[in-house]
Amino acid sequence: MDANQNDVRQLQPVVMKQLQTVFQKNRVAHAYLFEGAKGTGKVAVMRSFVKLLLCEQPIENVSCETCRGCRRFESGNHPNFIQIEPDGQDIKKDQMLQLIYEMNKTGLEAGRKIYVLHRADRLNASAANTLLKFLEEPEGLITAILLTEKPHAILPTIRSRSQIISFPAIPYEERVKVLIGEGLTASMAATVSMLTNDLEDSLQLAKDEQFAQVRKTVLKLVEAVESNVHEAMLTVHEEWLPLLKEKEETEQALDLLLFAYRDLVSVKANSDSAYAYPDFLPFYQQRALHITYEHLSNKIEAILKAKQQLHRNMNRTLLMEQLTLNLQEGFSFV
Amino acid sequence: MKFEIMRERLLDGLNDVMKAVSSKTTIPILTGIKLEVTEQGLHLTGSDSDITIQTFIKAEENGEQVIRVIEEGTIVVQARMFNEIVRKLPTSDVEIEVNEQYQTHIRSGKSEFHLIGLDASEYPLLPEIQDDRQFVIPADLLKSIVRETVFAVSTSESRPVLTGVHWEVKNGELVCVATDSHRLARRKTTLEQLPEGEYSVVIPGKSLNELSKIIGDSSEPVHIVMTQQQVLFKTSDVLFYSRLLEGNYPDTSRLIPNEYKTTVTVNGKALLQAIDRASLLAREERNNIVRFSSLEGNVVEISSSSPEVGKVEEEIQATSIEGEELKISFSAKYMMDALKAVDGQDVMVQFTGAMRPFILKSVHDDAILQLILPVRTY
Repeated sequence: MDANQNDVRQLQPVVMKQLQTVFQKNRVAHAYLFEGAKGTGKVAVMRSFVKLLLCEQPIENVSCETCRGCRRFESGNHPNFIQIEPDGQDIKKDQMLQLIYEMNKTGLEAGRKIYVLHRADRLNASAANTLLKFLEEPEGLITAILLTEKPHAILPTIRSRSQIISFPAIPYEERVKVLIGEGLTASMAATVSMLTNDLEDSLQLAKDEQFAQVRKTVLKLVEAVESNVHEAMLTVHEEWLPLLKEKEETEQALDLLLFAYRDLVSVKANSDSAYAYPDFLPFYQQRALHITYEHLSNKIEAILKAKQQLHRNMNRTLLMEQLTLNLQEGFSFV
Repeated sequence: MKFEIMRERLLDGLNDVMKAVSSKTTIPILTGIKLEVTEQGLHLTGSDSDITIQTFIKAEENGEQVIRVIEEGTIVVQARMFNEIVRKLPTSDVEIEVNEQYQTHIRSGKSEFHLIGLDASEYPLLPEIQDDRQFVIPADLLKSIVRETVFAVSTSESRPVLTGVHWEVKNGELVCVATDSHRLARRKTTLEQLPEGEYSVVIPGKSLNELSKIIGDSSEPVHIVMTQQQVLFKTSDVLFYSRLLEGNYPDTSRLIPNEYKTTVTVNGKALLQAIDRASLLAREERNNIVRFSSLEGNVVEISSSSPEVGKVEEEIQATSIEGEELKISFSAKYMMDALKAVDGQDVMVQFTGAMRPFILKSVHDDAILQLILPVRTY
């Protein structure tokens, strides 16, 4: 997590430059909302920015790493810095009340006080509303940093009260290149890069045997649904269900399924966009001729709906059966 | 760093400092206490970030050597563990030695402990104190100021600034005000030594409660220094720092009425007891309400009733009743708190009508003023 300063600047050059300029001109705002997908280095940038704010002798808008401020920040002992993580599912109202109470007292030491909300999208409604007033008009020299992967889950009233800093994703091609450099096959690299933006996570996934199995099963299901109508249900019962026991695993598999249909749409549209399963291209090309856009869009909708229902704890056997039937719709009932 | 110290004295110091250390802190270094040895003696510091207590043990006292300093230095050690260890050591002398890697050796007689210490430079810095910005109050007076105001602070954190007591130094007076927006307590004190300029700080009520536990009942002077970040209360060997509340305290001076329609002078103790009795029945009701009405012949009636339980009436002889006849209802709890804070035999209660706030003060002086908002009843 503690990427050093140079790494952070390489990861997010635009954002770092922006924050350093803000610091240089001494125009640090009262609240920032860092939004960006997983793996875009929000935490690393936040740490580097906070350290800069707490540093006693910054050199050319970079923290010095040697003063008391920097060292105590690193060891988690800086008294003017508070981090809040969701307590269980949500960030709760009590946590906010406590934060506000704490922030309303003068700092133990002079200088700026900073609080960070990790996964700010998890603020529940009452907590978010409690925070609103304080976020907008803090007493004293206070800066808030909210981190989120889901900017649209943040209350609009909170968004409008903070300066939004968007973290662009690291380009897909870049990531695939790096992963191939790490020794992955091109097809595996393409799939995992589609699933996550984080290089570490990608590598871990690619090395996971279960994941390889899931990928294979998903492709088998696509093939079955599209060409061997009779086998589809069998695939679901014999391979899919025994393999995927946990909710999170099913969710991931549904994502993979979604990527397969996305690929199919891309092939049909002759677009040059990246494919999640480049090894499957010949099959797509053949299939694309037999299927209309309308059918494809219905299928993609069916998968998205299955994902929603998964969150509502629908029985997973029924869920998959329903999805398979929906995916086959064109064949079974015409 | 290396020194030897008498165990008793170290324990005394630790006792005070431990009051500030909390196990619930979010900052890891604050689970420790800081030991700082110089030629003059040993400083012990403990903090839970809200309050910080520092004690000083002199190297020599009354010609007796308490600490033998061999090498100066600072270290932070785990507070609970260190306290327990020192408490249970076998002999009356303790030797503490710290080597380069913050390894702390505690020796006493034949027993030896190794503790892993923390880097003292990680410990929060205490604000620097300027000597010209201080004033002095005797410890017992300070304690009574706290007692007479702090009960009125708000317990709800919806308006954080009201959870503190507003201390203002102005025109040679220290004015302390606490309010939870239903009642208000004000204490004025004339200062002997005036600091330069005017000060206004809001000290958290919790900190003041802690403070009154630590200072003794003697008339020993307490030096009070107000800085931007913290307020310091300094006695001869203990320094008590507290953080302040940010934000502007509301202007309370306009809340206090200037003219009164009814003034009742009554024995405070008798009134307190009568209200206490009346509140027995009132407790059943939601707001703990008692009624107060003035009758003919300098008599005051305190009554309360709740439909399911019953009712109570009691008459008290007042010293005097001037002005209009009056019937008013108020919270028994607030009234009792206020009466306990006003000292002196006779209490003057001044009303401006049944729907307006009323005040209580001693007949002798204006130092303590309590204001209570009545409750509307039908």
